[in-house]
Amino acid sequence: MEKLYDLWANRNPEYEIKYDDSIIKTFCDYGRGTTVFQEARGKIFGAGYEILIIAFFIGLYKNQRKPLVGDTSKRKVLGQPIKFWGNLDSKPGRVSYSNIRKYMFAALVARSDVDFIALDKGEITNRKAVDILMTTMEEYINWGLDFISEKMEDNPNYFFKDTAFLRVFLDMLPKYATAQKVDLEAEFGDDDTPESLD
Amino acid sequence: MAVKSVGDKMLQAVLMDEKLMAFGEYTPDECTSLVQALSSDNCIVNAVAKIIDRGRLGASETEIYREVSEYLKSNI
Amino acid sequence: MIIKNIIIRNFRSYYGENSFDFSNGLTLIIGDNGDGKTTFFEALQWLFNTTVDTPNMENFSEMRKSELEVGEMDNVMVSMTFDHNGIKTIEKSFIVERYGNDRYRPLRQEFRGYEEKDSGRTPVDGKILVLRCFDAFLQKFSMFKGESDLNVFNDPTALKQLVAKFSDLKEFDKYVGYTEEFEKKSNSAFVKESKSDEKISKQVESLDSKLIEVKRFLSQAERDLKEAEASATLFSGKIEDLEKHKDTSEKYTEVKKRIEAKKAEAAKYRGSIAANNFNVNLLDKLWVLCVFPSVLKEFQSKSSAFSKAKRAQNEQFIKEMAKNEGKKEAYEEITQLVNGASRMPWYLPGEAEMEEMIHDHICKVCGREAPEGSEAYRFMCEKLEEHKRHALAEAEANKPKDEERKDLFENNYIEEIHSLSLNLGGFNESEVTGKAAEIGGCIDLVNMFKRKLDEVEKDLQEMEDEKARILIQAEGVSEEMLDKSFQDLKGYFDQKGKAEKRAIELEQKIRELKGQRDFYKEQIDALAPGKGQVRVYKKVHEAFDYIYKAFVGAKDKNLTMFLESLEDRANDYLRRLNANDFHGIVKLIRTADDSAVIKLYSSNGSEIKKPSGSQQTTMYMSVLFAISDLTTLKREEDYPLIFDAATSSFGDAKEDDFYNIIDHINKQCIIVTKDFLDKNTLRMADINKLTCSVYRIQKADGFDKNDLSTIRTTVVKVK
Repeated sequence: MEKLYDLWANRNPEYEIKYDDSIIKTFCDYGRGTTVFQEARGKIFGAGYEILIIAFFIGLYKNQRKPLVGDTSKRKVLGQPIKFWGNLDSKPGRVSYSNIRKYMFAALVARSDVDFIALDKGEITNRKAVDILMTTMEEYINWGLDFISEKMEDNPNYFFKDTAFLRVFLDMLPKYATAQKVDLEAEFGDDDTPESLD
Repeated sequence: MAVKSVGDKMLQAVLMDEKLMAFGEYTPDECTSLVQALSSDNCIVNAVAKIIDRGRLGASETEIYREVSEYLKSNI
Repeated sequence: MIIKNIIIRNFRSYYGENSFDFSNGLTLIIGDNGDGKTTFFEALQWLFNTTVDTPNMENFSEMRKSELEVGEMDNVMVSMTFDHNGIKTIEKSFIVERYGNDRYRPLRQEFRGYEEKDSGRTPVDGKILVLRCFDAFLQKFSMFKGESDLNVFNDPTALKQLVAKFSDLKEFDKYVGYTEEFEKKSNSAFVKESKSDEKISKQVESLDSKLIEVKRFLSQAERDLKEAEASATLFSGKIEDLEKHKDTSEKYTEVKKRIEAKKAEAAKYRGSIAANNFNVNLLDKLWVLCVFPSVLKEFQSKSSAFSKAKRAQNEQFIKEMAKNEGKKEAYEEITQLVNGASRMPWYLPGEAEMEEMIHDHICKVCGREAPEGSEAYRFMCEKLEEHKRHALAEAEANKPKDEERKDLFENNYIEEIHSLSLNLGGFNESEVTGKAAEIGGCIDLVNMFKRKLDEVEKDLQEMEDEKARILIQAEGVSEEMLDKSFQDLKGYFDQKGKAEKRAIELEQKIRELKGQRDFYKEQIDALAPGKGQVRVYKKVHEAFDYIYKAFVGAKDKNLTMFLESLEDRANDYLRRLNANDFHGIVKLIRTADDSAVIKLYSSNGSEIKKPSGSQQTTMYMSVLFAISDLTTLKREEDYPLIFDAATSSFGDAKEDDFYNIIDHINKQCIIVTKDFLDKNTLRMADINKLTCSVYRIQKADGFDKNDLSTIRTTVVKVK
């Protein structure tokens, strides 16, 4: 019997095309083949899926989902199925993080409504189960991309500071939201007006 | 005593030269003022005074030479 | 002349309007390197320059320029208001207009002047006013931009100019020239005349021609000697420089080494900082999992729940299966009897009893008789049939399934999930729970690197400043000079030696030639002319010769006397400036080319070859004050001294004494200095001891040293 994990890893999540230029190509070295000289192009991340992973975690942690647009012509997939995500094969300055896939899978199981009992009994197909997991994944990603997009509308420069993405996650930690926030902004030079600590 | 003019000072400075004094056979008290020197009997004193005076009046080198050499020729 | 006020507007780093008011005594302008001290002088030099009429865009403040909108204009202006027989003002300015995107043009430069007369403020041509009141000569002895300028005799013509302006007897040059000519002419006249005297003509001619030749050689030799002496002095100076700068050079090399080391340190920190890419670490170091713990728990509990549920269901299933086994047996029992008799529930009359009742035609439950054919009998028969039917149906219903399910669950996905849950838990769970702390630690580390980098960069700036200070104190010696290897020293020694040797040879030669010259002269003098006229010419020539020499001597003496009186005055000032401290004297020593050098001697008569920075400054200032006195005497008008005392080299607690003395000398002084600054902060305690007024000029904060438009000098009156 194939593992559910492997079935899932063979898939490739869809995302909305409208985010291609504004987000994927902006933050990732995507579109002309990933090159060794990622830094030379000034992109923050490498392959396109990396920003999808970030968006996924944003949606996951905020526990917010956004269904994909119905029109399939407005959706697309990237070149690599999930099973290759994080492999990186020796990009200079980068390290492989393939473990992340397990965590993503675990999160999807936790948050999706798959009746595993029924699945194990054979009452639903494994294909159907993976479909449900993928929907959850796509909806988290979609919400995450929307989140990023809105932040950039408010402040186009927001994610170009070298700690911007990290801060999005740190802000979700209760400890960081209060004590360390001030330090971060002071240290890393924030041009936004600092939010109040309350 | 009247304030020394520049001409007076220059005259004194030149005439106090020992060798000149010996050659010209004059004494220091003959060298006090330009005006006085211009009417001195001593031809060296007078000659130097003439040179200085005419020079201050703006005469050219040739003019001064002519006058002073003529004077010296007649009086030396 | 007393300067009342200077306004500098939009001139280079002086953005906007900046005004300085001056007292009759001393005004100090305090600033560090790069703060705008040199620009202050340059503004004044620009103001006083009467030769250049075209405006130069480079003089326009970059900061102001960067603010101009297209079509907007502003002006550059430097003005000085002074009292010189009445209040006067000179003002030079030009307008800059921005007419395109990166296009600027300067408009006509104006040079205005104003005089306060009874009738009011009258305009005057600026150039004329400058030439009248503050001509080039005065500027030369009044304004000193750099420290090396203070050594006024560095310019060999300076002394001549001074003598020319101030000595009573400035026309000696002219007379020496005249009388030299007279001697020559009278000699020619004599020689010509003597041709008519057969007694001596031949001898005169031959002696004279020899004399002329000797004189020519003599002139040449004297010129050569001057050259050799100059050469020796030059190399002597270079050697002195190198030796003087040996110390500086060593200090300089050392600072350079330290700077290199600091730069390496800075690079190391920068590398460490750059190595931490916080965005990429979200993925590469799995920092994105910092919020994951709660999700992990959700997963684990779900997995656990499913596992439990599956186990429970499975157990139930097995129990059911076991139950079914029992039921099967029971079922088999029932179905056997139905064909015959069936078992009845205990609460109903058994079939046998019913049949007995039917047979007996009586209901044994209620006791009614039920004869055959009666309603009661029919009822009992129907009831018996119904019972049989019912029993069968029930048996059917409880019949155990024939096809036996071997397993309830055909897949093991829950096991897979559970296995993953175990894998992510246990030891590995700390990977997730520790993320937040790991991130915090990394941030702290990078912050520490950044702080360290800041400190290193501050240190670097100080070292660069120190390097600059060393260069300045090396009196205008360039960096290349300090970098020179001392191979050059040997070369200089050789050259100097050669020059000195040559000078000695020439001196010998000159002595000989003079001897010859005198010999021929005597010969000529010894000749007794036959003719009276020739005798006269001879005597006349003699007279002119003596007269010429007397003028030469007088000129020489004059120069010496001038220097002596200047020296006396200078020492007067030196004593005052040094107050109770250093006891030494300034000597103005004549040099071969009718100039002079300023040297410092200790009271026991030995030369102080390497005077300290402050000793030098004091020495030069004494001479400058002395010269300035001459101006006062001569022109019956005082002139201010404006200079850059770049060496902040007074020992602490001496500065205020020094400056207070200057403030009380009856002369206006404007001194630009680095004194009273301690790492960019004013030493107010010491400044408050001063009696004079004080300005601070400073580069405003927030500048980028690579972007001129961010640099501006602020001017603040401190006292």
